[in-house]
Amino acid sequence: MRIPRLSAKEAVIVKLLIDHSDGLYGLEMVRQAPELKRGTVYTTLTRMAEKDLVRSRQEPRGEEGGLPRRVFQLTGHGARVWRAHMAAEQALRGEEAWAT
Amino acid sequence: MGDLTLRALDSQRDRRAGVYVENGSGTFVTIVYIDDEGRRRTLGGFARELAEQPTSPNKITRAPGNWILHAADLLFSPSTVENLFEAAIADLRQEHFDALYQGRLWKARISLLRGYGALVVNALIHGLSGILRLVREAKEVVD
Repeated sequence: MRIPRLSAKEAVIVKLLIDHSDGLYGLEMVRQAPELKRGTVYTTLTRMAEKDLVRSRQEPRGEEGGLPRRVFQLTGHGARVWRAHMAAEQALRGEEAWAT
Repeated sequence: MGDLTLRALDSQRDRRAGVYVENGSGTFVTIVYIDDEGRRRTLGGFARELAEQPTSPNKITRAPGNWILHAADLLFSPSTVENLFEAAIADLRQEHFDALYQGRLWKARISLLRGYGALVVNALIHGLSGILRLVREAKEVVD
């Protein structure tokens, strides 16, 4: 079994989505986290969706019609990977503190 | 509807409104405009009728990113189209329309340029990472 890993950008996105359980648009994420850039955020989200860390849904169509925006939310698997990521980080920090 | 249509089209003259052909058959349009009291209004109609109004100063254009969506549909997987192209173009349009509603034409143009730039970079990175993944998988099979 391949253990899922989170890149630095993926971790920022997961953290944002934990804080916003209703979900966020890609552009909102860029505005809220300086680490994220417009030029890469959608690629990162696509990769995360392929890894089942996030899912997206279409917003209901507004009165003016047109293309509905896509809201990204964390999946259950994404939340579990985040907890594992945090636990591993804490364990490493503890180990480093113990070694020093 | 005639008066209202003309008023919507007139409001485009002072660059406060957006007139765009929406998705689908390419003939039905939604006009978004600001009325005299500064309220946001929308109006639907058929492109040919609206474009043939004798007083219309407008050319009716497609919504930003429309052709990119069509091209992406042919070239990329449904998941990539949804999570990358649809998400990016919907955000781009929202920013562009917001600027138009505020009457900030230059901001609207700049947001379009930035949105298109970001979309190109996203698509390039996605394409390159797909190629790298294929190479890695092929290498694993060979090994």
